[in-house]
Amino acid sequence: MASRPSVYTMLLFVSGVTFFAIFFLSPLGALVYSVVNPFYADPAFFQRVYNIYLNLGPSKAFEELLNLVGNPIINSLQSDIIVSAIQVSLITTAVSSVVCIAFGTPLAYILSRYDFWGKSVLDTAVDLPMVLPPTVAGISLILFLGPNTPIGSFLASNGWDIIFTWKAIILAQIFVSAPFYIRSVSTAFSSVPLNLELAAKNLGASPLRTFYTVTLPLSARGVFAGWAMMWARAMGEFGATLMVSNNVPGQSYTLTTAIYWEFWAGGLFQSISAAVVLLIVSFLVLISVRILMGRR
Amino acid sequence: MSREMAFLKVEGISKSFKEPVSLREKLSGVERENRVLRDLSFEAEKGELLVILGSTGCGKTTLLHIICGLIKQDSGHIYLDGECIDELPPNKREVCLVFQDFALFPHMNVADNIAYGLFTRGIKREIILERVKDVLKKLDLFPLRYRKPETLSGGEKQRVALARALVVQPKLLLFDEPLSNLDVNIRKSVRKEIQRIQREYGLTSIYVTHDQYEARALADRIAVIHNGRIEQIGKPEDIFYRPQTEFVASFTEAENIFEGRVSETRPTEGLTEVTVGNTKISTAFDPDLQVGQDVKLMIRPEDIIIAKTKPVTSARNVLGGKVAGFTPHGSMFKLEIDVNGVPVSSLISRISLEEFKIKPGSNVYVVFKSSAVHIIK
Repeated sequence: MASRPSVYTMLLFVSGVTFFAIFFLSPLGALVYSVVNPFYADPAFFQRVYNIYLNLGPSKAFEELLNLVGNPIINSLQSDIIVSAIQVSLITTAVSSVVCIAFGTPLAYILSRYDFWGKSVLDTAVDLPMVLPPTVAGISLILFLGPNTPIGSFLASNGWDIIFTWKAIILAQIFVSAPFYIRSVSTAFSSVPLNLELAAKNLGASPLRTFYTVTLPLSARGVFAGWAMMWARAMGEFGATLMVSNNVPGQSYTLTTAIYWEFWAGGLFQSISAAVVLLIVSFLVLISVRILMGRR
Repeated sequence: MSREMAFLKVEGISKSFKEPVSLREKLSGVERENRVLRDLSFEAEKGELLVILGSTGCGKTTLLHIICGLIKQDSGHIYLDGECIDELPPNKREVCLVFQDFALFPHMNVADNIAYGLFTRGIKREIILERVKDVLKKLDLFPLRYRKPETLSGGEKQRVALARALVVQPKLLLFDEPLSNLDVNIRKSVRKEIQRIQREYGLTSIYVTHDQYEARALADRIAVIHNGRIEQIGKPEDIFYRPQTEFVASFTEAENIFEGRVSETRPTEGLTEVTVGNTKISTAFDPDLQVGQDVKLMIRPEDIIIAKTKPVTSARNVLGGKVAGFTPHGSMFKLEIDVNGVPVSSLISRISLEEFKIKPGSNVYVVFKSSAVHIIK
């Protein structure tokens, strides 16, 4: 017997949906709509076609019309700037993923299994980058490895220029995204009963073998979900990347910085195409995390 | 070593855990310790089933974890088969533990669970298959070999846990309250299974429990542990009928424990008389007892017979009393009788209870032999 929802429940529901519609759905809807109808994003289009018609004749105007109807988003997706931005984003996030997994996994294990002096301090410090504005990370990295600092100038004199090259993007991504991996994986490790690890050791397994035959298989979902979130955050890194990279178009643009720079440079369609790629990526990550964590 | 050493020798084990303290206390150097084991020693012979009996939280699990190396002791030594194993990591000790919650690997099927300990030892695949098959058959697990642990019943899980430990042929097998997570009605059959397997393999075993009935049914010897020390170690009859301390007596539900004073010794009749309150109780003659000495007496409730009329009997102690009350106790009834101000409890069957028309206030006789009276020194 389903009871009728009260007026207050309805009010709560309506206010929630309205909030969601205004602040999230509408902007993303505009982005998606501009892909379906590119002229929405470029109202001056008809004026431009008309000008071409006046100056160059009807055949040239028809060509321009065809060109734009053949989806400018697809065209700009194939432009050098966006192709290279996709490459840079994939390569840098791959490297930062490897670093986060290699160093974050042992740290997550330590945080979940051991008690030691200063653990609460370390625990809090790991979470700090989650709340820290990324530009703070950017300026910190510049002060640590920038060309005028002791360490930075030493590295540069040995041919290791890092800050203001595409390599610095990796550092920025690790800085902001590692906490997502470590937190999620440490929670996943904690959910594996300690007794199972003890049983494995008791049956003759070395600590390493215990880890990869018992702990890791039982926490695999959490580890993968943690990596997915970390990777999505690294893909989306913007503020620190903008500060530490040299921002050369077609060379050290990531997808996020490409959205920004192309927008100011007048390449609206490039911005839209990069944004759509990121939207799809984020959506896929979210779905895979949900599937992994939901099923148990 | 010249003197022959016991198969397992646990010598002077102590362990304390730090208890959490507040930050302010930590900064001012305060540390609170919980001393779980205090200088605990015992020995076990090869092939023996030694039951460690103690109340919950008395350090039994800690002791097992120390023996198999999962926890390091603060002091003391452990010798297994003539070899000191203090410094060996858990995966190098030939000691297997059957966990209280079974600790089966949920992502592996039954056969893989059992084979785990063999793979870690780097044994050849064909030999592993053979040995797993053997133990599967021996424990009636063969039809379940591809099942995942979550689909098994408690008793089946217990058998898998046992098989997983047996298959590696350890020198020492440890059981951590293996029946406590099982339904009451299957405990008996699983207990018998454990006993059968232990005898069949001749495995030296240490079995930890808080259940005195389980201990009595299983043990070759029992060690009662209290406050982190061994209170008494010996054959089940010794623990139950000749307890050396009041704790052992009360833990094994020897309910009638009285303080009295030796009033008379009669060596010719083989008797010592002890006065408890206004009542005289005869016990077997003990040359160590002097007249006037304060002693503690213990009589197990099951050693006391109840009679409605004064019986003609060879039993030395026939005392009149008044029934104070009775309560169900398993399949029997526990009768509380007031004997001249001394509260005596006894067990009686339902039939006798009805036959004697016993009600609170009824007059009855309590009858027990002088040999049923045990003196705790």
